Amino acid sequence: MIDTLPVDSKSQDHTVQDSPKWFDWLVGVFLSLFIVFAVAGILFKYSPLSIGPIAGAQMLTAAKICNLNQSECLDENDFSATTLPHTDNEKSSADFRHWRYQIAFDLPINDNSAQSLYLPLFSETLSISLNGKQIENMPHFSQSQSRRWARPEIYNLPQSLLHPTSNKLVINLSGYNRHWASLFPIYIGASHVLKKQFDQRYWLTRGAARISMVLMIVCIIGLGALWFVQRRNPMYLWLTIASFSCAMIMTAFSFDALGISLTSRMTMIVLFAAIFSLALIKFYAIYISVKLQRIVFLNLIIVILHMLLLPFLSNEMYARVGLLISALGFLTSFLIPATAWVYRKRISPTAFAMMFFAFLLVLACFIHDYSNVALKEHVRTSSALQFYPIFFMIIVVCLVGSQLLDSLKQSETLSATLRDQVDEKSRALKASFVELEENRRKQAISDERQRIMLDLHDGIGGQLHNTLAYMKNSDLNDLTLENALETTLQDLGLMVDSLGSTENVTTLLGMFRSRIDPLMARRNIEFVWKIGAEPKMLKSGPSQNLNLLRIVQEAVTNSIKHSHGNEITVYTDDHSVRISDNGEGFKIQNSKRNHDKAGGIGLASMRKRANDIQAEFNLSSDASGTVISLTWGKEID
Amino acid sequence: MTTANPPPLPDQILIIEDQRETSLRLQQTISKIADLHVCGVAHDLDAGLNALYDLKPRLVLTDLGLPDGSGIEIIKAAASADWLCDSLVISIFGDENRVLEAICAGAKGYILKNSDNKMIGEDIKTVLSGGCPLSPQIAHYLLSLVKMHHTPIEGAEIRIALTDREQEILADVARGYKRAEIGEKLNISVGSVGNHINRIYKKLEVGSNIEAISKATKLGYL
Repeated sequence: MIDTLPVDSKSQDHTVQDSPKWFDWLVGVFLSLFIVFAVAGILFKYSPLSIGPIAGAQMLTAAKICNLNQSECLDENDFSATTLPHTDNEKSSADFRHWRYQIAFDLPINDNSAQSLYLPLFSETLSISLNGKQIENMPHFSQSQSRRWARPEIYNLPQSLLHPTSNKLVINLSGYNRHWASLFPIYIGASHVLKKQFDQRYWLTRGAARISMVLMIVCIIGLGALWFVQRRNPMYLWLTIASFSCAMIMTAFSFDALGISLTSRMTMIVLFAAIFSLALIKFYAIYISVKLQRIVFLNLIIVILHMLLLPFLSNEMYARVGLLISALGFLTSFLIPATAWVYRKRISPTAFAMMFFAFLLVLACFIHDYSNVALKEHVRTSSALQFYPIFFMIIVVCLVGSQLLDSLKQSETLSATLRDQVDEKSRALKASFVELEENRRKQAISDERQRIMLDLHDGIGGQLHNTLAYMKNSDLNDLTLENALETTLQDLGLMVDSLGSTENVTTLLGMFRSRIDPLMARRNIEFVWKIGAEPKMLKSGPSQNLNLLRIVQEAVTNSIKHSHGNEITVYTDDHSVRISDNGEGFKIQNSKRNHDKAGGIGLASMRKRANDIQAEFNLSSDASGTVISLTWGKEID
Repeated sequence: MTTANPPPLPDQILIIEDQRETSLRLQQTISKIADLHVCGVAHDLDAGLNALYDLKPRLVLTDLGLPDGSGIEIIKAAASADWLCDSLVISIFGDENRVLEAICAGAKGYILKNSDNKMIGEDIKTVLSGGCPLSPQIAHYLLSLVKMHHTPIEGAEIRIALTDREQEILADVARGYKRAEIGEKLNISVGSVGNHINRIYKKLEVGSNIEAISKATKLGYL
């Protein structure tokens, strides 16, 4: 489903091959911009973090800004009236800004429930006194370098300090320069009402940031392990880096004090945002197997700019240059969903839809918070960045899930293949066992045959020959007996030959010739030897060869004994064997009738043997001689 | 072969054959051939070996199946004798397995028991003049040797460089053609056919190579 090939030269070919047109890019960028701003706008408008009236509590927006040199705002001249939210908008070169607000409130009539003070949003630290008695004094941020704006606070108001009317709340607010000092509307009301509000806001801000941080740590471990296991697949490395960036940003969101300066904290966020963007585009490039060199390069430049510039900037400079670089970074980031759009056909529609919208949601979170900073208005009631790792998780889960599915499929295929292979090998093994067994059997048969033949050879053969020699030595001229002995010897010779290791019919014929030659010489008959190609019998083997040789022997012997010719021709080609003589021929009918008497024309046995070796047997005889032919696989003309 | 010993009498032939009538017949046949002399006849292995060393013949004709052992022993003894002594197998059928075994042991070939004078005389004289009576099945074996030219066999380096003509002659011998017929077919003299065959023998070092072939056959290469 998903192509995970690492980037290589082949990918570049793809890039060239289906190089998207500028129009597609344009559509991608505008689509992304539109959706991102739409989502960011919706977040602004309908954020659960927006600050408005709470049923069952008083929202206090009217405040006096007091002279800092006096402990209380007593005099009419000492204060100016303002409406919360109030943000420090005055230009100043001071590092820290201090404000003192005095807010008056009456308790609701007939409400005896415990009262609380709820501050949904402020920055950075404050001390609070109620009717002249201090109820909160946070450690000063110049020592702790704390950043508190991302979390709400709630205080129980001691019943003893409260008056039914004209309660006076003094809030000393300290903040960093520019608009980092701000106070949003505060609430006084029943504790149980405000606690609920506080909890809700807490979990949507700091709580969410911490959950996100933990999630990202899990991602770092999981993806890092995957990277390690998956043979250093760089895709997982880049996702690990992205997770790490998220975790770092979430760390900045999750804790008041990190032991680093505000500048460093802000730098940390924008730098890791840039790294996140770079890692994301690198991951995606590998994921869809496209190089995306220019976009990656652009992201890399942004990261380098952040690295180079930010640590050396003062707060004032940061506000200008940093924002500019971040703006560039955002523009670059839009290329990620645009890329996804342009190369959407390289992955499955589901994977594309999931990833594309996850990218857009992540971007929307960033844009939402960036605009909070950039717009410098009293709109920073909500933040969304704490949620983006969750959207990033969608990408990771989507990817890992699809990879898992893929590898499951692969392993299924693999195991099926393996099973097939094992089956095949088992079959082959079985077959080779059978073959081995067959070979053993054949070997045993062959050994036994050799033994019998050797006995026949040395025993019977030797004895027969000795008898023949005896007859010749003692001049016993019994031709019939001599013939019979010689025929028997020749037949024994054929048997020995055909059972030998030579299966070549032409060689067997040659061997036959060398044995029958002495007889031929005695009878003054000559061979016209025309052994050509090896005849291809339909079946081959010792017994087929023996049958063939017996036919030849029978034919040759017949010719020697009965033809009265002086030449016997033996001929072979690849499909036939022919034995002919130049004798006077014979009448076939007669021969049949005289078969037994003639004692060896043996036509019937020749026919039978020819039938056994599936050869067409043909005999013709006339005054010019006799021809016997055996033919395989071809019609006789 | 050393030259220290006096050379054996030319054309002295020892026959070792257990079948009395057969040996008698063979003896008579050979005696009729000019320039050949049967110097002794033995009927078993023991007597044969003794006769071999006593008589130091130029040629031994031996049966393989002797009552007290195999004629191969005689052939081996003849091959390693310190005088020039060739050997031929006396065979009923010229059946290949045993003849090949004998050739491996050093025999030059075989004669058939029922051959006539002329043929036996020719074969013996061929051997005595340093030639080889090449039978069809040996030729067939040698052809397989040429065919497995490129098949290296364990323990037997086989180098074969037969000319086309030599291969042709070998194939014809394997198919049973006589030297004269081959000469006619190829338009060369019988003598040059014989020369070709002798050269083939030398090139192929027949004895040792047939051993390789039978090894290869058993190993399943052929």
